[in-house]
Amino acid sequence: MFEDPKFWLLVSFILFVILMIKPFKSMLIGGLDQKIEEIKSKINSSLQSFSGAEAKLKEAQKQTEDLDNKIQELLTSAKSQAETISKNIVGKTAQTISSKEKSSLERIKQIETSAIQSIKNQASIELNSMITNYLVNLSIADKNKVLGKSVSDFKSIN
Amino acid sequence: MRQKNQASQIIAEAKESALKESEKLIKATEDKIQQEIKNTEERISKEKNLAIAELNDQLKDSASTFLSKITSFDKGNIKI
Repeated sequence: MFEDPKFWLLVSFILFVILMIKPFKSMLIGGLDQKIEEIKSKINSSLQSFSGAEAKLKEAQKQTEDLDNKIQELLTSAKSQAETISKNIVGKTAQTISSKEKSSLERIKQIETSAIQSIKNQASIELNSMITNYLVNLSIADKNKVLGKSVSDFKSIN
Repeated sequence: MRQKNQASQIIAEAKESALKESEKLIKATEDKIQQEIKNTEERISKEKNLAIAELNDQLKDSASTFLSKITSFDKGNIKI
């Protein structure tokens, strides 16, 4: 058995394996620890990145929400302003219409007054014309009678 | 920026729309007033002519009364 080279080869192999176990183990464990550290570091880094991203997302969401609120406020304010402007225009229009209606009523009243005055003037002219025409067209005898009566009336007054 | 434009547009559209409606209303009122004045003028003119025609007899009567007083002629004999 001791003379068999296979036996020594086996012994050498077993010795080699025994001798190599420790450095291999430490190398293996060291590599694993390093790997674990790397993974831990990566996980931490990822977690940090995730937290950062989450914070940024929250911030972005808040900004979006603020922006939405501002937009809503802007639109509400615009609608309110539009309503105020419309109301002002409606108010001014009502005033203008009222003023125009008032002036039209005055104009109509003026037309009526003017017509009444015109009728009075025309009646006065017509009356004068009738009296004058009658007196002008009297015969000489009648004119003398009228004149005589007028003189007599005048004397009786004085 | 887009929302600001939208807000400005809302205001501008409301203003424009209100102004257009206002102009329409004022124009309609003006037309109505013009028509009312025209109708009044026509009515007054007709009434005036009618009144003058009706007044003519009364004027003749008044003139006769007056002439009768100043001439001592009988009112019935005064022909105008």
